[in-house]
Amino acid sequence: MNVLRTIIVPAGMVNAARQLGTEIAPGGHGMYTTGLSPTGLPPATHYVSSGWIEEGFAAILNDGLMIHNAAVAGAAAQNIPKVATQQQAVDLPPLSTVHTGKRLVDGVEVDEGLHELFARLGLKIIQESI
Amino acid sequence: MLNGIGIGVPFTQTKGLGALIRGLFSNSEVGVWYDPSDFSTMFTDSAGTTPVTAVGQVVGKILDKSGNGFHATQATSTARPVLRQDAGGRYYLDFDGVDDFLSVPLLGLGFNWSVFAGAAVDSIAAGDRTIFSQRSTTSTNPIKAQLDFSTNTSRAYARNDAGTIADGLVYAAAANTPYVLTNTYTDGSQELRANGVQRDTGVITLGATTVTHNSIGRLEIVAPGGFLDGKLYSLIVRGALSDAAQIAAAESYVNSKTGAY
Repeated sequence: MNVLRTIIVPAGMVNAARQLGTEIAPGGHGMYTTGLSPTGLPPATHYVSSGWIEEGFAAILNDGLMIHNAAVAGAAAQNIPKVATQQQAVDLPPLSTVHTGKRLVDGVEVDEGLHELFARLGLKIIQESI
Repeated sequence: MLNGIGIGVPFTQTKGLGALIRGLFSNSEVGVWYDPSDFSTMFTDSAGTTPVTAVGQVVGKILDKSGNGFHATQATSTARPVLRQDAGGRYYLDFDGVDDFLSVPLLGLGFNWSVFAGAAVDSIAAGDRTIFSQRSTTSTNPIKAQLDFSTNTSRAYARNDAGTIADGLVYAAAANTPYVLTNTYTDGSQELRANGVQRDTGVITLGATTVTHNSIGRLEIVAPGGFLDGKLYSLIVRGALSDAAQIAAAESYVNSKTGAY
């Protein structure tokens, strides 16, 4: 079962977030490549990944210790080095945004699209052009 | 195969067009043919082990029906497009405009190619929205066989190795409207066609064309961008000179999947 999640991490933590994604599962390789900033121009202040992920992965996104444990298990399963530290995993959730495609407004859950989310956070996608 | 079901095109007609598309590659022409209406060609994972069985599932691999084996894949879970169906019953890959794209093994297109796409874009006011692009991940030049939406237009684009000469052909486009778009390049002459009609032409001489990657749904560049926020109904890329009859057949086929005109 897959669920929709949009994850926004601060630029200062993106390397740790990428490493944790890589360690957790093969499908976590290559995350957080799209930069965001208040103006839509470089440099990126945040990075985003958005899409459908396994429910089990979604369940740990707000818990640093669970992220760390999943990274330990995932790195072992993939036979790759465990590089990201437990402290990096613990530090990540409080500074990240995990969005489900819904938002609570006056206690009522309403749909919120990506562009609405970015606007609410004051961020724009940095669109590299040709 | 689900060709023709519920899309207003007789099954036999669509099947006949499919045979014509296979003919575009019958003499070992390099290229690709992706058909999101054909469930037998799609998998939720990039390894191709779990078939797509329903609308709403992600597509991590779509098989190349040209016979060349250039299957498009996406290994990153969050970057996979989703199979969806429009109000007319047509199937498409839904790209989120944030990070979704598919990688295609490098196509040696040479100096004659045609890109045929059935596509729509959700937001077109600003920025580049890539349908198909061939370029380098280590340099901003060259660009080959680029077909995209860019600030209220559809566009065919090429740029030489040095980055000194570029040719962007445009035709007005609206959001949430499906188009059949064609970019042809024939020994220096580039053409943009939309919905079966020539819209713009240009001349650009390309050099050694040291491209390294093809992508569907994003620009290849050192910092990736130009993500498609929209729909891809059909995509055919052919690295050979296509005559008028072949172009007409390909556009008719893509339109049967897209319903643009």
